[in-house]
Amino acid sequence: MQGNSCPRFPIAVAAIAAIAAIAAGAWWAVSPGRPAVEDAEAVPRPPRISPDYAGIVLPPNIAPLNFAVREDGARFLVRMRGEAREAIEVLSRSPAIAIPPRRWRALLDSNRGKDLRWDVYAEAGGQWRRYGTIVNRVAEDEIDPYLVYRLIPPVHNKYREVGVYQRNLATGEESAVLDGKPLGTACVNCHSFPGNDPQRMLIGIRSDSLGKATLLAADGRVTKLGTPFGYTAWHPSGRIAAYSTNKVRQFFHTAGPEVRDVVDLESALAYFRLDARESKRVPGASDEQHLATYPAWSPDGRWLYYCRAPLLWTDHDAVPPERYAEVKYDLVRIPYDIETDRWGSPQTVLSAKETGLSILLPRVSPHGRFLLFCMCRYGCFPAFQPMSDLYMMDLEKGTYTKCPINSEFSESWHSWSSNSRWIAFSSKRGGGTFTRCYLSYIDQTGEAHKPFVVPQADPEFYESFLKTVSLPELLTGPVPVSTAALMRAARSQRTIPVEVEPDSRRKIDDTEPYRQADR
Amino acid sequence: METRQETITRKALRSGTATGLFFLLFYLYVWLVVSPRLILHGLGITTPYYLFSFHTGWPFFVEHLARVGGLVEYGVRLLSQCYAFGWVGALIVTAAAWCMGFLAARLIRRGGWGGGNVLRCVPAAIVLVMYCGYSHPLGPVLSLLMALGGFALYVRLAPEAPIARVATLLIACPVLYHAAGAGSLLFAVLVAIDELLIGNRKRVAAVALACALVVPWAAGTLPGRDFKEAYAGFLSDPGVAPGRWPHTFALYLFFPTVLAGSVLWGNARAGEASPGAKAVVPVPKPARPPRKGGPSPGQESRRFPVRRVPARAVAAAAFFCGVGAAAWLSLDSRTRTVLETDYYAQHERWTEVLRSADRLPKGIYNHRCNRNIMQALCHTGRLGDEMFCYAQRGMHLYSTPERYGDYGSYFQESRLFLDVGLVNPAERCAYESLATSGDQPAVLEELAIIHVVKGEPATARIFLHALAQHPFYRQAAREMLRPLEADPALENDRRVSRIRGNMASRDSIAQATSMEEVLQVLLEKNPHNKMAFELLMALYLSDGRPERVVANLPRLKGFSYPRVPRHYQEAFVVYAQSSDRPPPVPGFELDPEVLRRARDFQRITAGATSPQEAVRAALEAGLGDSYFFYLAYGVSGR
Repeated sequence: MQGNSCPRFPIAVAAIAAIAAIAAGAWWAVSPGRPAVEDAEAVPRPPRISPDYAGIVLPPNIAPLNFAVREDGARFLVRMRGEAREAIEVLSRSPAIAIPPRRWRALLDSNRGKDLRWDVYAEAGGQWRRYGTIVNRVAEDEIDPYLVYRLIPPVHNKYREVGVYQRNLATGEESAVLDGKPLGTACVNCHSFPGNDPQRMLIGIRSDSLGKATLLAADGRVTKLGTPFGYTAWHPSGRIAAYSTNKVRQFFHTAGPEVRDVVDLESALAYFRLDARESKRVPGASDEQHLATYPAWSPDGRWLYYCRAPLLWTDHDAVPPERYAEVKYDLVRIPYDIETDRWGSPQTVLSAKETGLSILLPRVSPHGRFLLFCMCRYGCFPAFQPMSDLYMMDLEKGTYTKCPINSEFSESWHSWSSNSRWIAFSSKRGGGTFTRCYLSYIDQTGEAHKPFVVPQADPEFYESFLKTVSLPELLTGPVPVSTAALMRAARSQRTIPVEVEPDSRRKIDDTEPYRQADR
Repeated sequence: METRQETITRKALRSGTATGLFFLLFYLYVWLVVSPRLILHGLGITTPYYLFSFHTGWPFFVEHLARVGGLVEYGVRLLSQCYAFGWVGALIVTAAAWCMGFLAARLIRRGGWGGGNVLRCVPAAIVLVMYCGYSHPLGPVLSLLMALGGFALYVRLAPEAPIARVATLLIACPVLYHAAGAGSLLFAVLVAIDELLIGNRKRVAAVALACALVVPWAAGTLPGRDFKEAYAGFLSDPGVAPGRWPHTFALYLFFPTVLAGSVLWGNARAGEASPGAKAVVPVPKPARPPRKGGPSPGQESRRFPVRRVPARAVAAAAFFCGVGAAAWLSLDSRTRTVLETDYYAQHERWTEVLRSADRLPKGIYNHRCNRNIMQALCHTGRLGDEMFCYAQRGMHLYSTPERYGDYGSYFQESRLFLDVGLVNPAERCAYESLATSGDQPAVLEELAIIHVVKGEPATARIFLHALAQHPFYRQAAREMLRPLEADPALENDRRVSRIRGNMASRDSIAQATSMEEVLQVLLEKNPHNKMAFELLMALYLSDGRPERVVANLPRLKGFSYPRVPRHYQEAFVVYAQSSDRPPPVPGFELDPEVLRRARDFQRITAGATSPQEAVRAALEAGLGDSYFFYLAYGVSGR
């Protein structure tokens, strides 16, 4: 261990340079040149690609829709062309097609409102084949550029990794908003924003060490509120937030496709006033004869939509209660005047008696014309109901239709883009277990177009991704507070007490059925 | 007369042979006795698996490069997978131990002490003791090696000028910290000792210590890491059982102690030789290191030729014996047996499960072992005859109390549920295992099977693609994916068909349904589900309900038993004794041996003056494995 000088340094540099030169040469040698595909044999069907990005309407500000060609071949060529601007060609020895981002953005930008044609060629046995052209359309309307969602494994009872993440839809960059792991395996949940505005955010945290609290991020500052909120809906003014208090219990089926099931033994609505730091019950939505959950404001802030069902049991501890499979929620709305802080009487918008199904998760489009909601066989948790589907209600006409974008599996957790032209939703299509986030274009008539999964840099990403993507929320910008600030607030002993009206405290204790992993 | 060079060569040869022998024995012990295969199997049982899970591919590597301690973590994850091959795992452990010994020897020489052949093997001994306790201290060991390697490079390459040395430190400390985490702080400590005691550069030493304080704060606590984790994460490594954390501490303390100790020892000797000499030793020359006692080697061997050589040999022999004894005494043979039993059960080697379980010390009950034994007895057709030959403490078959702290119990429960046909409970437990312990390849494989059985091939494929990302499982995943492409239902797969044939079709709510009802539903679906029948009978036996055993005896004719299993007969005898009119069971005959043992048990219990005496007498009479004994005392076992 004697210290001495190092005469071998120039030799090392020369060696590294030589290795780099050899590597570059090898790369050049194996890189495929542009093949002649003009004589390619035509295959009279479109190619199989994964994810399914065929026949879709895509936003002009979406990251490259990288995909994998599921056809036999040793080499693949994909040509993407629109009416305007030159085509993009991607030649690959692997079926995974990675589209150059800059050229992709330019292609989309110059083809707004026009068709985009993808020609896929595959070379098998020395012969190139050309498959039927995939035609997609680029919408005129952009999608909100950010998506915030929760990533969590398919939790049955215990959890270890729960985190809320944000993704720039234009670049595909993902970053953590708040990760529960560094917080002592905390559960972070129910993020909510006023409209699509990231400037204000409420996010729940729950752990053995930190207790139950809600983080309020507003005006660049994070405050820890000493009470948990359930499903939360911000008033468009950003001055109040309505939320549900749920005594949630999970139970398991010994047979059938979905093992998990959830019941709200009790639930009610309350609202939090930011200025007064107090919570009050929502009169008419917090009585003991009913369950009330999933609040959602109309864009003018004059109506609070929610789901209501009669309480069918008196024993509030039995899990599950005897008639759990008979609970069906109605869609109800209640008027509210923010200036006078007065609530009106609840009005049924759509009854479960009429539909025969349980109506859940109402979300009104920002322009106020449509209301998107879920319906499933029974209960309060559509994500665990395989037959949960999305329905669109025209609030002007008072009619509703089943969206054509549903699958045989559960659809739930939907969110509108601020221009009311796009929705993001969770779907279990592709297996029935893992929810993925899909985007769908909504035209002026309220018709939803073929959805597509949020693109990833690795086209085979979803084929082995063992987490579910839930509660997608489209936002007009990134969450402005840093993860470190949220973590500091979460760990802080300084909790702002929230004055809770006694009647609304009753059901606040259990907003999450899961438990931390402790073994 | 031997020249000085020959003496040195001879000693080096002798020392090298001894060290070689030590590490050869070390390797063989780790490979054949400790068995790295079982250490890998224990990840996910004694500690969560996700901390050691490894995925092939660039993104996984990049993800690790980006985090503090990520490079070492990546190495640990990768090397841990190699433990699947016992000899490779042992080679990794031995190589790490040898590297520590090698670097320890350099530290000793750096400190100016020429001896220390035994001392250099101390880290290896500590590591061996840790492995004997079925800990997996590869994380702290690799961090330590990074720190020691960094120190060796610093000593060799750092420029002479103090300012340049400070600059080197300011670069090296954060880089090492980012690569190796808190364990790398040893580098700064060693540099501080070296600069203070050998280089006599107090300011550089102070900078090194400042680096050790500031770097974890800046790179660890500021981005949100826990304070303890940022500064001393290596001391509570998840791979090391809490009982062995002091060993990690000792390992980390060893190197600075050796460096400082050897310098101070050299100083003290130099002080003795010339009282006016400066206390700080100069940088020693490796070719001729200062020796204990001052005289030249030649003089030393001339003056003490007989006494010193045997003393060293005795010291070495004592060290060998000490390490051997420590390894033997610290070997956690109970954990070894539990892991071995579980390993065989997971690989469905049922006879070996029972053979391994027989090595459990008498009277020891382990819920994991018990579940494996019950399953193995079912598969070998011996449950009705030998259930009470093993320690029973009621039925913990279908759930594991939290207090056991067993990270893998969900997966074990899942295996049992799937085996008997309870597919949904198996799915729930497998998902719990995935969520809490991580993506163990065996769990992924199990979930794939479950979803195939349930007719959800797309989900099964996701698990198989995830499985293919694990080293050594790519081929297995492909072999399962291929038939799935051709036949998504896997109609021709024997295992899938068997489970599907047993799968419960009538739904009930798990929390509101007893295990008895669930097993009855399985028998309703498939009256030939022998495992469900045997587990139902075992449930009745262990619950002390012989009347239910008797009531279900007519079901026996649906299965191909050569005779009525012993425990069922014993239950019949118990029931007959307590009932005026035992029900006639067509085709049912009592074995005279069972009747004799029943009479013996009655006689012993009636004649005993205390329950303790009765237990002792019954055990001496060989009745500990009978249902009579279990029913009377709530325990069992030969």
